[in-house]
Amino acid sequence: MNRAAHRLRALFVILSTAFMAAALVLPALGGLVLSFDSHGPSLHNYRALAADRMFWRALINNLIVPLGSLAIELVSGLALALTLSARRRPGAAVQVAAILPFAIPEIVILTLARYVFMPRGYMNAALGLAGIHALGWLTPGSLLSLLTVIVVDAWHVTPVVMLILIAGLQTIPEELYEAAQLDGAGTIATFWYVTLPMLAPAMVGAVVLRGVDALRIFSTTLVLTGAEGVPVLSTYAYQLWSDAREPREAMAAAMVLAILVTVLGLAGLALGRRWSAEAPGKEAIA
Amino acid sequence: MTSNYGSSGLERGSLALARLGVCALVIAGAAIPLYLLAKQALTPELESFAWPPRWLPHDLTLAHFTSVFAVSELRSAVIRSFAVAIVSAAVATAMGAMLAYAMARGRTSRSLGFAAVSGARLLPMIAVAIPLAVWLVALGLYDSPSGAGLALVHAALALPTAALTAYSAFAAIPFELEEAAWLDGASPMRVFFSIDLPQARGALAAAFILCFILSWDEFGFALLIQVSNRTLPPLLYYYTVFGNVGPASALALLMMVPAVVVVVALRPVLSGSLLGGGLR
Amino acid sequence: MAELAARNLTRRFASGGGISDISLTVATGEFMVLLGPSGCGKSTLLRLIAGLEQPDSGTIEFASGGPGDGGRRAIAMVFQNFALYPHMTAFENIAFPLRLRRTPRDEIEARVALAADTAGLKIELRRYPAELSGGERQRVALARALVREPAVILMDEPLSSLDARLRGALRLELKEFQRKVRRTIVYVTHDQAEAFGLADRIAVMCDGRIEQVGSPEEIYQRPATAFVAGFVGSPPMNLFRARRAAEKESLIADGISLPAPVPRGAGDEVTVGFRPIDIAVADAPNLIAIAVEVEDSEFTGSGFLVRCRAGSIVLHALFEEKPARGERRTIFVDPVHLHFFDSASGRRLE
Repeated sequence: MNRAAHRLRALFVILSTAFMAAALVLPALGGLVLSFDSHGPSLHNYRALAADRMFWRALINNLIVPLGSLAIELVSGLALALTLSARRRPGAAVQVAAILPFAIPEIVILTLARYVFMPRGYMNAALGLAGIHALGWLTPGSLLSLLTVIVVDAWHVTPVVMLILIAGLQTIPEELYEAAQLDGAGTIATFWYVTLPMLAPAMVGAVVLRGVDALRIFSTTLVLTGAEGVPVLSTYAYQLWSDAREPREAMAAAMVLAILVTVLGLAGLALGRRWSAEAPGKEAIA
Repeated sequence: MTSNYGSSGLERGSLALARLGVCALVIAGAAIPLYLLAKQALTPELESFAWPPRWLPHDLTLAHFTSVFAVSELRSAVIRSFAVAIVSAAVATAMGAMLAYAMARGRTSRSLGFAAVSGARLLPMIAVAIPLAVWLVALGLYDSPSGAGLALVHAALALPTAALTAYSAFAAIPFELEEAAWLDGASPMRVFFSIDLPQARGALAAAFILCFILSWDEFGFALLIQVSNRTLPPLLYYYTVFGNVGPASALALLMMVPAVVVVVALRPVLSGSLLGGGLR
Repeated sequence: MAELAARNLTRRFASGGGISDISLTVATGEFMVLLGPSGCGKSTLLRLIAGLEQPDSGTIEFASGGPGDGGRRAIAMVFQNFALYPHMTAFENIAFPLRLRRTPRDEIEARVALAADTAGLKIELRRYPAELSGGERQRVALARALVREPAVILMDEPLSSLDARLRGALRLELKEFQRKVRRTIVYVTHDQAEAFGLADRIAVMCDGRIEQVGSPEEIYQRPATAFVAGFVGSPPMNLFRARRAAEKESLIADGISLPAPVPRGAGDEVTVGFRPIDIAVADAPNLIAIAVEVEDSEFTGSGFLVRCRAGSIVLHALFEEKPARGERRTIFVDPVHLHFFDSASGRRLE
C-alpha cells in the first residue's frame, strides 16, 4: 500500500504547490528579471530609484509605519486580550466589538477612516465642538498624516494580535496563578512576574506574523492619503506602474520591498525561535 | 484568571477603572464609525457634505441602496465579486484539501507544505501583481469581465489558509482507518475520497468560508487586475476617492454583511487558522 | 493443509525492532495466536501477512491464490480499536468491502444480513459506531471482516482496548464465532489467558523471533526455551542458574543442591526451572528438599503466593496457609517437574 499511497501524496503536493508557484512565485521571478532589464540587462532601474527622493521617503515610511503600528497593536492587543479573558468576562457586545474591526473588509475600514479624518470630516467636527482648531489629519507629507496611517492600520489589525495573545493566555496553567496568589502577589505583580514572561512566546509570534504583514502595507496609505501623501514601497511601485507607466522601475521598487520582507521576516523568525526557546515560560510548562 | 486576592484596594479600584475604560473604548471605536457609515448610507448626499456635519440624520432615504441594484456598474460588480469569491474559494479548498492531506500523512510532504505555506506569506502583493498583470494580458485573462484571472490569483492566495484549516482535521483521522479501507479493497484515491474527505468535511466547510471572505475583501490584486471590470473593493475605492458618499457608504455596508455574519459565527475556528498564519 | 506459509521473513526498522528470519505455517481452519511481550515483533508479522508492510526479505504464500494486488487478496483484518469508519452506519461499514467490488445492491443486503447474524449483531444497523457499545463495535468489525468471505482473518489485539469484564465475555464470543465460521484466524495478543483460551496453536515470540510453536498444552508443559518457560504460566516459573557439581550426577546452585540427573548435552552451567504450583510443602519419597527463608507473601484468594530465598536465589511458591516473615521452611519438588535449559542458548535440555 505504501508505494501507491506515496504516489498519491506526491501528486497532491505537486499539484497544489505547483499551482501556488505558477500564480505567485513565477510572476515574482519574472518581475525580478524585469527589474534588471532596460533594453538588455542593466542596473538602470535601480539607479533611477536611488536618484528619486520619493523612493527614499517611501523606504523610510515603509519602516516607520510598521514599527509604529506594531507597537500600538501589541499594547492594545494585550489590553484587549487581558480584558476579554479576565475571570469577570465582559459581555458579548464587547467581544463582538473587539473583533469587529477585523471582520469588516479592509477597504470598508479605510473608507470609513477617510470620512472620519478628511478635512471636513467627523474628527475635525468633534474637535470643533470641543473648541479645538481643525487639524490636517491627512495632509500629504505631514507628520500627522503618518500618525493617522499608523493608528488606522493598528486599529484594523489589533483583533488579530488579540486573538493570538488570548490563545497564548489560555496555555498558561491555572496553578501558576494560584501559586502566585498563595505567595501573596497582587494583580499587578502577578501580571508582571507570571503572565508577561509566560506570554513572551505568543508575543514574539505575533510580532513576526504581523510584522511581515505590516511591511507589505499598501491599501491603508493609498486610500487615506493617495500614493504620494504617505508613500510606502508598495504604493510607490503601484504609482510607477499605473501612472508613470514604468513597469521596470516599478518592479525594481517591488523587489526592494520583497528583499526587505524576506530578510526581516527570516531574521524575525530566527530571533523568535531563539527567544521563545529561552523564555522562562517554556521551562515552567515543561 | 486575574484574581483580587492579595491586591490592595487602590490596585483593585484602578484596575476596574482601566477595564471599564478599555470596554468603553472598544464599543465606541466600533459603534461610532459604523453609525456614521450607516447614517451616510441612509441620508441624501447633501446632508453628508454639510459643514459642520450633522451628527443625527435629518432626512432618510433608501435611494443609495436601490442605486446599487439599478446602476449596472454596481450590480455587475456585486455579481462579479460574488462569482470570483465562490470560484476561488472552491479551487482553494479543493487544492488546500489535497495539500493538507499530504501534509497530515507524509513527513516529507509536511515540511514541504509548511515551507510553501509560510513562504507564500513573504511575497509582497505588488511584486506579484505587476508582472502577473503583464502575463494575464498575454493570456487574455487581464481585466476579463468574468474575473477569471483574479479568481485564479485569489485561489492561489487563499490556498495556504485552506490547507492550514484542513490540516489538523486530516491529522486527527487515525491512520488505522486508512489501512482498514485499503484491506477492504480500496485504492489510495478511493481511501481519500471515501474515508478521509467525509470526516474532514466540517473543517473543509470552514476553509471554504474563510477563502470566500479572503477573496471578497481582497483589494490589491483586484485593483491591479480588474481595472475596468471591477470587483467591489476597487469599486468602493473609486467611489470613495471621487466623492460619491452615498453609494460608497451603501456599498460599504453591503460588503460587510457576509464577512461580519460569518466571522462572528466562526469565531472559534477563525482564531485557530489565524494562529496557523492564514493570509489576510 | 497449509493456508498460509511465511518463509524466512525479515523486516527491520530504522528505529529498532521488527522481525528476523521468521518461518511459520498456518493450517486451514486453524486459530493461530501470536503471543509475546510488547515490541517482540508480533504485530509486525501480522502486518506483513496483511500486506500493510513489505518484508526486507522472505516470502509469504497463500493457498487461496497468491498475494494479489493490494487488498484484493482473501484477507480481512480486525484492528485493535476496530477501525470502524465513524462517518458510516454499521450497515455501511459492513457493506463497504462489497461496495468496492461493485456487488449488486440486493446481494449486498443479503450478505450483510448474513454476516451480521453470524457475528451475533442484534442491533439496528442504521446506527453509527459512536452510538454503539464496545461489544457491538467488535461484532460490527467481525461482520465487516466476514462479509467478503475471506480465507484468512487477521486480528490485532482486538480485545485490548476493552475493560476486563467485557474482554472475558467477548473472548467467549470470539471462540463461538470461530466454531461457527471455521475460518483460518491469526490473532495477536500479549495476554496469555487470551492465547490459552482461544488458540489451536500458539507461536510465542521474543525479540523478533519465534521461540516456540505448539498447542497450549505443549507450550505449558514442555516450553522450548527459558524465555517461553518464564513468559507462559501464572505465577511465572522459578528459573535459576546451576553448575554441574564436582561429583558426577548433581547440580549445585547457590544455596540449592539438586541431586537430579544432569540432562544430556548440558554444559557446565544450566538454567533450572520449576513452577510454583509444582512445589509441595510436605516431604515424600524421591522429592528434592530446598531450605528457604520466607521474605514476603501475598494473598491470592485460593492461597498465598510466597516469595522466599534460598541463598541468593529468589523462589516463588504457593502455600495454603500464611507463613510468617523470616520463617525458615523446607519446600519440596518432584524431579519430574524440573525443566532444564542451556544457559547459553536458552534451548530446552531433556
